[in-house]
Amino acid sequence: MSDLNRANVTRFVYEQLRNRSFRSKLKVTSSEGATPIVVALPSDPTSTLLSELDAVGGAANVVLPVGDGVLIFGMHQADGDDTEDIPTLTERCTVGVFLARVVSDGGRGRYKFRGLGSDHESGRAELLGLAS
Amino acid sequence: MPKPGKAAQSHRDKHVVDMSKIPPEDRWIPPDPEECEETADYTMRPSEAPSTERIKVRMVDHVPTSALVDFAIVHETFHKGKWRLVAKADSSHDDEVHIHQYSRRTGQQYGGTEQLIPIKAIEDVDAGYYLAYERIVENWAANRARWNDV
Repeated sequence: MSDLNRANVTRFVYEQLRNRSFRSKLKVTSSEGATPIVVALPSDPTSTLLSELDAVGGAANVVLPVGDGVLIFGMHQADGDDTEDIPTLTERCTVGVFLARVVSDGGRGRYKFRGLGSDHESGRAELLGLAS
Repeated sequence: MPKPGKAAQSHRDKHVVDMSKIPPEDRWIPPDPEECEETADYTMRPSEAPSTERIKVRMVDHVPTSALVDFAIVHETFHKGKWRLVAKADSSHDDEVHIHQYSRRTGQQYGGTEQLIPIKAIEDVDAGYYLAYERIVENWAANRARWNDV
């Protein structure tokens, strides 16, 4: 994707929604039965992404532009996680760094969100696919 | 064989009623509803919009060809504790893709429908999807302002 701005990524997603293969990668559904999609840019603060997730009920398909396409992550927020040995995101962490961490963790992981202004204390993220 | 959803069923019902009203030379023949499949509702926030705005997209595909048979793109705004209709583009009358605008005050449609493109062939539905994107998603701020004023 040559011009990496939110409007272009949003338009790309609407175009891709016509594609059955793309739609099959959007696996996160809301309690209402809808399929929420959140567009995130690599430079976004992770706190911004978490606010977006709060706004759509705590779970979404997160679309991140990379190269000529997008990566799709499923994210679910959760309340309370006393597990000590899961990574804690800091307020300096960008979405790009966070989701690169998910990829390096094997494509899925659980993370603490404390101090990032989210309604939730932790959550999990999973790489769902690539579209281009 | 995929099961047709409510929209596909609705599509079939409307097909029976509406086709008789369209001049024969302008008719297109929608695919067999048994070969069509309705998608889920996809929800997204328009670019640069606050979280009080959302777009819902639903489509009906012809499974063997992946052609778009029917769709709706809906702009909703969260107002006084519930999601309210602002504008909707759809192809649900078989013969055209058009836009409905709604009123904040009454919650009902405001004014008549505006045609975006007549449907004379299945390719027109796909073309209408992109026109609808521009008018509903990229034009969300103007639609929201108009909704607030009527």
